[in-house]
Amino acid sequence: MDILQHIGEISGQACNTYLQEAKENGGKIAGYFCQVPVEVIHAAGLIPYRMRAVGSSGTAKGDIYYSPLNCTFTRHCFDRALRGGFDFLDAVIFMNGCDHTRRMYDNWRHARKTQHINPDFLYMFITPHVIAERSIGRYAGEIRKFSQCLSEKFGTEITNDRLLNSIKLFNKQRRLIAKIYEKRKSMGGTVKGSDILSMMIAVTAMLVDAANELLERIEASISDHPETEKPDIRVLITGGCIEEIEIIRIIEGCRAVVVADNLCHGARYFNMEVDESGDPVESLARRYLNKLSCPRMINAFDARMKYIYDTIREYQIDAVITQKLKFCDLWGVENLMLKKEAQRTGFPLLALERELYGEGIGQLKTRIQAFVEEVRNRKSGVGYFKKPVTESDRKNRNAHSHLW
Amino acid sequence: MITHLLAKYILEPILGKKETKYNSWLRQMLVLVGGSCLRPTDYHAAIPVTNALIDYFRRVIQHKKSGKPVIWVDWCFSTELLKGFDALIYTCEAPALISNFIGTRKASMLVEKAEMEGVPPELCSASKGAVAAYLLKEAPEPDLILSTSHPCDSTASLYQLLKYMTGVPAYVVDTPYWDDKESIEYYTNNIRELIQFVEKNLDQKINWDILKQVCENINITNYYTSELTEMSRVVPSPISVIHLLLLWLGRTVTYGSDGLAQTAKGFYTAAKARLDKNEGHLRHERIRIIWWDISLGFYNIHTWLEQEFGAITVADLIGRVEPFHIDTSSRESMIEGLAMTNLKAPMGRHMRGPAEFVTNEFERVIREYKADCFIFSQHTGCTHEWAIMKIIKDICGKTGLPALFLDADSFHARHTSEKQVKRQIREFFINHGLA
Repeated sequence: MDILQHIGEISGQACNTYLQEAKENGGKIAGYFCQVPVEVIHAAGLIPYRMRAVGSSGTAKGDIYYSPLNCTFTRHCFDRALRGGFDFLDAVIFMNGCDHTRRMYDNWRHARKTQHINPDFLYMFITPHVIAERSIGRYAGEIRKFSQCLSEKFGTEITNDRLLNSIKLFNKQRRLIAKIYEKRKSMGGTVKGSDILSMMIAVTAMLVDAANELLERIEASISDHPETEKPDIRVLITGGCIEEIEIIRIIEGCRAVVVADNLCHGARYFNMEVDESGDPVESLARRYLNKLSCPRMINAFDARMKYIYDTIREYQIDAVITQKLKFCDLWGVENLMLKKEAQRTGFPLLALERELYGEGIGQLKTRIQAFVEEVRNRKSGVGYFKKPVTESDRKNRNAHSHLW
Repeated sequence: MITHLLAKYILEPILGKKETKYNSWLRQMLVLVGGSCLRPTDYHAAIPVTNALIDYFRRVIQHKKSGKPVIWVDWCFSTELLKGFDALIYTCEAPALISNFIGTRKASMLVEKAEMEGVPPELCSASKGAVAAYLLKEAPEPDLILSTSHPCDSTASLYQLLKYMTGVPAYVVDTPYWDDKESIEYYTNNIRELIQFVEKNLDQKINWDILKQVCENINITNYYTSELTEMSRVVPSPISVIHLLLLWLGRTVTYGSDGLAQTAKGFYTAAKARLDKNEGHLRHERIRIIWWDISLGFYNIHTWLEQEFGAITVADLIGRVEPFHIDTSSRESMIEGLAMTNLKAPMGRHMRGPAEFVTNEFERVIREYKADCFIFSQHTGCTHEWAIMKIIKDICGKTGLPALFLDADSFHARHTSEKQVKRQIREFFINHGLA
């Protein structure tokens, strides 16, 4: 089977064949939400599984706990939990990511008491909200506490050697993904954004060794998949949770190609390696706090914009598409600032709001088509950007009230 | 003649819906003395906090004359620490809170302005008010911005936006999720660093003598307010939630002031006298309500409840104060104490952590306050609270008491109007045989 077809299949399943096989062999799986150090889970002898809602068809049960004003990712995800769709998990590690996901820790515990949903090991991992020296020690302390809890529960002592071994494996994974992303810089459009999203969804739900092996095969196969129709618009996609590969395919259907991203299942997962030379716990803390972030990190908008501007230059981006789920305050404000930046420096931006696995795909398609067409027209004309994005643009952090 | 003047200058402006500068001023005056819903014995006690609030607004309006640096803070960061600096403290959510509280419709205009400028509609209306006030140049230009990572995403992201708009240095206090020793130490370190940040950026040293006085005033305020909080347990309740909400309003901008401390003491003295006589705040107390949510800011719903149904809110999420004493014996102990007052502030102590931070206090209130029913406003911006409604409803269900869940925006009357709110509450009372 074609490797890309294979990852397409894996990414479409909540519990894929790799996980099923691991379970049959006595493996234990820990579901986790963003910003939880996967290395610690791995060092405890568990398989880290990024929580997801792939294949979900509704939120009827999730809506008993959540309101219509809560985001659809949490509602779909918790719906699956209530239906026993996460029974294959041996642990769930929550994180104080946003107001919606952090409450899943409360709701899961409540449903465990009242409806006996699995698993019994539920842990809230606390990540600081600011990137600062003061947060490093706090995050390191949290890792130690978490390690101790996992060790006690699952009986594997997390030594520095074990942690370092896990760090090396995940660093290797990051390098492999980075290598694949690097190939997207070329103008040939040899790899589709939809395949990349499939790949990222797949590798975050597998044993790290198997995932690395798969990534090596994908990396080797990329040149074997030249695009027959060369797309002329290069897109950077950013925003919150996105699992629907269909949306990326809509973009591709407009003769555009997604070549870079700032997504949970994307650059935010592999950006920045963990230092292998220092104290592993502190190195993990530094990596997870300083890597490319989402707006739950409060004082990092400048860093995120730097990433966007650098990516626009390096990947020769023609257009940026940002997308958010409804009722996400964090991405709502981030996208407003992104719009203002687009207004300031002139990069074409489309901001989409959507429901996870929601209806309205037709509307999204129309908006994307119109946007890509507009960018294509602008590109063929003179004065594509109002002015070129320069280093000083990026560094200019003065007041932006004039943009309103 | 007197009747004519009374009708023209008092009744018409209050009863007529036409908004004029005079009407607004009149309502402001009435509200500042307790919304005319306090007992006459309480009026005198309300004067010091009224003066403190007026003084605060005067300083905000005349900030250019004073030449003092302006520090913007979020409403969940208690400003008392900053009183040790020679600066004007401006609470960004104040325009939404105050304009609602004095009975104007300004808050809805602010929401409209913010949304027109691209602020996401799902953001808390208090946050929208902060953005709009700046865009309309109704907020003083800041020199620094201080904010916290709690109680909600809306507040946290608002301050990223304000920093982006203004371009001034900003400091974010990272609020812990838990209340364990490490979390409190981390938070206290944040506060220490915050002092250094303000000292460096304002080129000033904190005045510890002033801060000591502020802490002593906080201790007085906390003591009396927590006593008032506990007094509501008695049937009939000698105090109204309006006392507590007025003190909370004072707290948001004048915490640590002499005025707030005097008012808290004054309210306590009057309430204690009623308690000793077994007399309630209402002559005929018929219904006892627990309002475990942010109250409605755009309408003084509690006065209507009291006058229409003899219904008194005996416990609410915002007005309640937990007893806490700041040790003023050293600078360190004051920093630690001020950190704790921040963590124990309403909303902060409830919403930054696990659901138990909301539900444990709620369950205690249910056990101790002898309520007849529950009302929840379900403020649109509080998505974290919407996310645990099932847990809350289960707790209410176990008591067998009726619960009303409104669908309102606490600072935006257009979302669910006063008329709709009243109708729902009336129906609720009638359906459950409470009225």
